Amino acid sequence: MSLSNPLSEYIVRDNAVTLIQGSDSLNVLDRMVSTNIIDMPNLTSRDALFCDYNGRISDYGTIYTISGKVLLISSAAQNEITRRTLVDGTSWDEDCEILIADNAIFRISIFSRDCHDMFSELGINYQAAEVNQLIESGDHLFVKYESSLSERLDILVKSDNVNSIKSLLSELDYVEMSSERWEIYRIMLGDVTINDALGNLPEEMGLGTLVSNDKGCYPGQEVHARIESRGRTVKNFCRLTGNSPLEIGKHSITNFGSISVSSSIFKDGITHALALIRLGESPTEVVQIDGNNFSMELLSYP
Amino acid sequence: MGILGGEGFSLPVVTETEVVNVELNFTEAAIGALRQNMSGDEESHVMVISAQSGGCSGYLYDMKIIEDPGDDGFQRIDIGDFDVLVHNKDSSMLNGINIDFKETLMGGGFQIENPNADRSCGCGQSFG
Repeated sequence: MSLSNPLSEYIVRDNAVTLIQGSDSLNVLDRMVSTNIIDMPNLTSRDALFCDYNGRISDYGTIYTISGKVLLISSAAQNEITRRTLVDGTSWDEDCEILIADNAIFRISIFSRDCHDMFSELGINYQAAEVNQLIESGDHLFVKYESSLSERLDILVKSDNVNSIKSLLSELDYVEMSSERWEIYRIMLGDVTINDALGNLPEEMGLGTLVSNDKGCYPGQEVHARIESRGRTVKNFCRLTGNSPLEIGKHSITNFGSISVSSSIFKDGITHALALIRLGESPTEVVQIDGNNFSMELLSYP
Repeated sequence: MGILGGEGFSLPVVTETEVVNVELNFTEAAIGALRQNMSGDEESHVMVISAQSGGCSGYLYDMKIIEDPGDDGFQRIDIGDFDVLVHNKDSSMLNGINIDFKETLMGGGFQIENPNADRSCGCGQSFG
């Protein structure tokens, strides 16, 4: 697949930001997520899943450890449920305070074909930067991500400084992505949002690596352990590309079964979509939906 | 000052937890086991039963023998020789629980049956 990698673009992400502070903050959070986070060193980041007792995803976020405090950037759609779980789940004798930071801290994601240049332009030593490691520079935190399809630099920035960072990026010829452009690029990357993942099993969504089978009990652990022992899932997350519009929702596939489309955008005659498909005996590369052909690629955690 | 310094942070707006008058039911075996664990500290110590997030079903039981923290935020239940405390925030989740003690070579210990729980984990330590 040809990925139209942006030359120099960025987006201010629309997320819920929660600050968890106190000596028990990482313990409290670790009990709630399917991903082992208790061993996270200071100034690192890790993606994590919140699941319900049925093992199905209820929220998807990134956890940052910052000098004894924990920052959770999770989906805006599920923020009330996740924060309620955090507040209710803290024991009376635990030192853990939950604070909303939606208006205090923002995450800006920067995409560039040449990350070396991008890093040096922002004053960061690219050679020293490791994936998922936070680099402090002034009031900002930088973190580098790599996948098979792209490199990304995230900046965590205080609200007061968002405009100055945007001005700096503009001076460096970085362009802010429109929401439409971001949606297309996100789908091309196979970047899962909570709209795609909510209510589905991690393995089905290609997020099995965010389930730590060795961490002991957490909500959904029994179901995840059963899936691991069976060694297979019935459905798989995939990307669809075609020349006809495709509506979000459930569709029938000719001679195949059904498919649930969770993200879809039609632009310049091309549809980019993400969907959960029931795997057949022989996986196919092209599926026919409502009489139109779409190429299909199975996805996994980048 | 760093990323976490400055303004814009606020406490989450969450619905206040319902506080109910807690009743706990202990079997003779459970009281006997607790008495044994208290080992002479009945005057100065209490047992606190609480709930916290985690476990397969969403919440975990926790039982601790600690120095008496006083009544601030707690409900005190007198079960004879000593007191058991439940924090108000856990009162609606723990009201009416039945606490037993089973002595077996495997899987022994305190067993809690919770009428408020819609589900519980196979090991009996988690509920939801």
